[in-house]
Amino acid sequence: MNDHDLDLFEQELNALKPAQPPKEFANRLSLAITNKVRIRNQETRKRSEVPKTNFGDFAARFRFHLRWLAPATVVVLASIAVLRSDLLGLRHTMPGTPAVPPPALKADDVRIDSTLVASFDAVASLPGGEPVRFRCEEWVDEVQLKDTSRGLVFNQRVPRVTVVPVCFETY
Amino acid sequence: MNSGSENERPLSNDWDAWLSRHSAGMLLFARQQARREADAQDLVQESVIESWQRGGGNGNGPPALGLVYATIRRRAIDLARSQDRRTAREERTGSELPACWFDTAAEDRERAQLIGQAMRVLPANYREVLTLKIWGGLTFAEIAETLEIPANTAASRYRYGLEELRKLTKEVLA
Repeated sequence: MNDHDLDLFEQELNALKPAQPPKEFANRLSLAITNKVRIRNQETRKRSEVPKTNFGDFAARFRFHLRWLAPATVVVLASIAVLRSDLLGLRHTMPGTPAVPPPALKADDVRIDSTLVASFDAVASLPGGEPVRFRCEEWVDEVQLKDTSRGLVFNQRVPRVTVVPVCFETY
Repeated sequence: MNSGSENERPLSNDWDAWLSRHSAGMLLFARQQARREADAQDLVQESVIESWQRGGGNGNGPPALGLVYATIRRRAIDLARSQDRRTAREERTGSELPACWFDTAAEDRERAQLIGQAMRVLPANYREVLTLKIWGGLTFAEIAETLEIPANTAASRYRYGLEELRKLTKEVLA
């Protein structure tokens, strides 16, 4: 098969026309495209058109502007709230007033101690005249916490007095 | 085209001319891809609209022809996959494709029918390129884009397709 033969065959194919679409299909296709074009035109017009109203028709203008005014108001209020919280946060972080609470103490050395400071007996008389002896003791309770990582030492001393009746003595 | 008065018209002159020029070629291509006539028509309609919507930046004018053919092909593949899942009974209820893909009103009616039959037995990759080039009016570059193949491959398939089709029809047409 030579090129000339093939060229002739190609010309023959070019002369051949595809079968025309059925009339019903052509109409359906045309109608579908028309509808789509119309819908797009309407949408484009809706997006671009500003309602043509008189200056006196305030309600219509207000409704139109409300479309963007309402979300814009929300955005502005949200911005103010964020800005305000930022300013308050800034105020809290001024020197001398820590903005965040300090972390809890991590004690790595705890000592609890009780020291007897004084001990003595006291003799008293009951309402009936009988003598009674009391053992009196003065103690100091001490609690010591150390956080060596932060160099903190917490020391608390609390005095305590105990009075214990020892015996009743009858003379 | 974009003026207000033309927007009110049922369909612009651009569209009318475009459809009358290309709808037969698009339907021919769709018939080769589909199993039923109704499917082929639906493929063309949906592909034209989808291509037009995807090429929204071009205003209301017709879409690029290559894009329409590519969409027909992609949709046909999707349709074939979904149809494979249907039962044989459902397949039989569909309307059959027309006996001849070409215009048989002309005097060389027998020749048109013969070429149509030969086209049906031609390998699909040759048939696609021949249809897009001869009856779709696409360039090799557009065919390459439509079929997602290199342009050289499109050109060689066209050549081999012509030879193959010629062989199939030679005896009768000679």
